[in-house]
Amino acid sequence: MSTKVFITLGIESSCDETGIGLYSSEKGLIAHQLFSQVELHAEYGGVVPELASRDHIQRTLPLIKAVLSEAELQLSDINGIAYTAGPGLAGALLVGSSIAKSLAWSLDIPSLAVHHMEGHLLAPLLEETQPEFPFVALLVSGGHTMLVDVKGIGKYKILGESLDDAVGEAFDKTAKILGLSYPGGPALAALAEQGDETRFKFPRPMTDRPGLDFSFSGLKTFARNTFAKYPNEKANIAKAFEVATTQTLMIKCRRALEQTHYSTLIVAGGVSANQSLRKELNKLGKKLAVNVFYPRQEFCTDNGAMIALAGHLRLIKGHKFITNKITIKPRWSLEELEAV
Amino acid sequence: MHILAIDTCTEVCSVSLYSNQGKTSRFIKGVEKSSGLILPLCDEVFSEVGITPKDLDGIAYTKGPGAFTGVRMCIGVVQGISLAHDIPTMGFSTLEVVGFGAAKKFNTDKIAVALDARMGEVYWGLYQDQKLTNESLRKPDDVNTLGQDFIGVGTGWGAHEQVLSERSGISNYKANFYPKSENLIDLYLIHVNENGNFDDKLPLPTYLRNNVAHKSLK
Ligand SMILES: Nc1ncnc2c1ncn2[C@@H]1O[C@H](COP(=O)(O)OP(=O)(O)O)[C@@H](O)[C@H]1O
Repeated sequence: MSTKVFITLGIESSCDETGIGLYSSEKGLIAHQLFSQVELHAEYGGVVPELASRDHIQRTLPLIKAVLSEAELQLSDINGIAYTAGPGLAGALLVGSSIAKSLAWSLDIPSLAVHHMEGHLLAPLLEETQPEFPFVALLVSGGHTMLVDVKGIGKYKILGESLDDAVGEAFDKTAKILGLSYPGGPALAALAEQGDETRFKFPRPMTDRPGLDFSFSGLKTFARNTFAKYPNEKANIAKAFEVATTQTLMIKCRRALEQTHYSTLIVAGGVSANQSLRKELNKLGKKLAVNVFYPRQEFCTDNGAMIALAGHLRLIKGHKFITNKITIKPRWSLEELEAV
Repeated sequence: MHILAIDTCTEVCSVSLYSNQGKTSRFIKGVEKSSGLILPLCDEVFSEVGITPKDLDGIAYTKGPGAFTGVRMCIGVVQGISLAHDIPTMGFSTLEVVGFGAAKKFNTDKIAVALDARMGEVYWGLYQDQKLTNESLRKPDDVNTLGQDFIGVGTGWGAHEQVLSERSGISNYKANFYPKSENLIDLYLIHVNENGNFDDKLPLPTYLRNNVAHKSLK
C-alpha cells in the first residue's frame, strides 16, 4: 500500500441524525460531529420523513465545515468522500447523496456509496482493541435486527433477521405503550432498572425451534396486555420486556457462534448501547470463550464516524462509484456488497 | 466570467454554463430527470467549454418551490459544488425563473405563473415589471383576478385549466412552459449588474408548502 496519507470524509443522513466524520489512514478517526433530530420528531411520536429531509439539508454543510475546522483541515486535504446510500429514508438519503456526490465531483476526488449497516457492523473497528475476522455480528438498531457471518470486509452472509419489528422498534413501541417519552428505547431501559425480574415472565419468541430469525412484535402485544391488567407496574413490565429481548438475542447469538465455530462476536447498532444486553452477552462470551466487542456508546447509534471508516476501507482499495449519477438505495441487502 | 446555472426543482432538469462562448446548456425531462443525471450533464457542459468547477465565479440556481425531493437535490448539488471552491451562489424562485422566461418569450410584462403543486393546489406568482410578487401556495379558485392582458404559464395551467382561467380572467395560457437554466444566468447577470456581487452563503430551499406533518395526539 502506498504511504501517502488518505483522508476520507463520511456523511450519514439515512434517518434522523446528520453525522459527519473524518478518517485518516495515518491517524484513524480524526474528527466527527453529530446533529440529532430527536427533539424535532419527538412531538410527532416518531420520525417524520419529510421533516427529517428538511433538517438534513440545513445541517449537513455547516456540520462538514465544523468537522473540518475541528480537525484543522481544508477540503483540499480530503482524498475521498463516503456517504450513506441506503438502506434508509429515500428523501433523507438523497440529501447526503446530492451533497457528497457534487462535492466530490467539484473537488475531482472519488466518492463511494456506503451501506448503512456495514457502517454499524464495522463501528467496533473505530476502537483501539479491534476484533479480528471472522466474526459473528449482531446488528440491533431501530430498523434492523440481524445476525451476520462476517468473513471479511464485504464478505457477509445473513444468518438470521427479524421477520417483523426490529428490536429497537420493539423497545420504542413498548415504551410508547407504557407512556414513556420518545424515543422510548433508552427510557424503557432506564425504567427497567427499577423493575423486579421475577414479577412477570414474557416469552422468548422463536427460541423453541431451530434457526436464527427473530420476531419481536409479539412481545410488544404481550406488554400491552400485561399493562392493561397491571397498570401500576410499569417498571416490572419494562424489566420483563428487557429480559425477554436480551435473552432472546443472547440465545440466538449462542446458536450463531456454535454454528460458525467463530470465537469473536461483535454487537452494534443503537440497541447495543443497552447495558443489560451487554451484560448478558459478556456472560455468554465468558462461557463460550468468545471475545465480545462493542463500539463506544456514542457510535452505537447512527453517526458519521462509522460511515467515514466503512467508506475509507473501500476507497483505499480503489473502490469507487464509477458514475456521477446521484443514486440512493433505500432497500439494499448487506449480501449484495462487494468483498474488499 | 464563468457562471453555472442549475435547476432540478420541477419535472425538468437543466444546466447552463456561461462563458465567453455564450451559454452552453442541457435540458432533460421526465423519467430521465428523476434519475439523478444532473452531474453527468454538468460534466458535458464543462468539458464542452473546457473549464473545471474551480474556474467558476458564481452559481445561479432555483431554490423552489417545486417537488420537494427535486428542490433538495438542486440545493444539495449547489451546496456541494460551491463548498468545494468557495463559489458564491445566488438562488431564485422557480416562479421567478418561469416568469422571467415567459416575459422574455412573449414580450410582455404581465405574467401569471402557476406550477402544479399536486394535492389540488398551485404554486402561484405574478411576474410584472421584472419582479415576482404574490408568491404563494393556493387553491386554484383563490388566485388573483387579473384580466386579458396577462399571459398564464406553467404546469398549473394544465392541471387546473378551467378554474384558473375563470378566476384569473386569463384566456391566454401555456401549460408546458418550464424553468430554464439559461434564464437563471440572465437573472444572475442582471442582479450582479444592479446590486454588485452577492452570495447567499448557505443555499436553502423554498417550499411554500409547510403543513407536511401531523402531530400525534398523545
Ligand atoms: N439503551 C438502550 N436500550 C434499548 N434500546 C436502545 C437503547 N439506546 C438506543 N436504543 C434504540 O436504538 C434505536 C436507534 O438506533 P440506531 O442505530 O440509531 O437505529 P436506526 O439507524 O435503525 O434508527 C432506537 O430504536 C432506540 O430506542
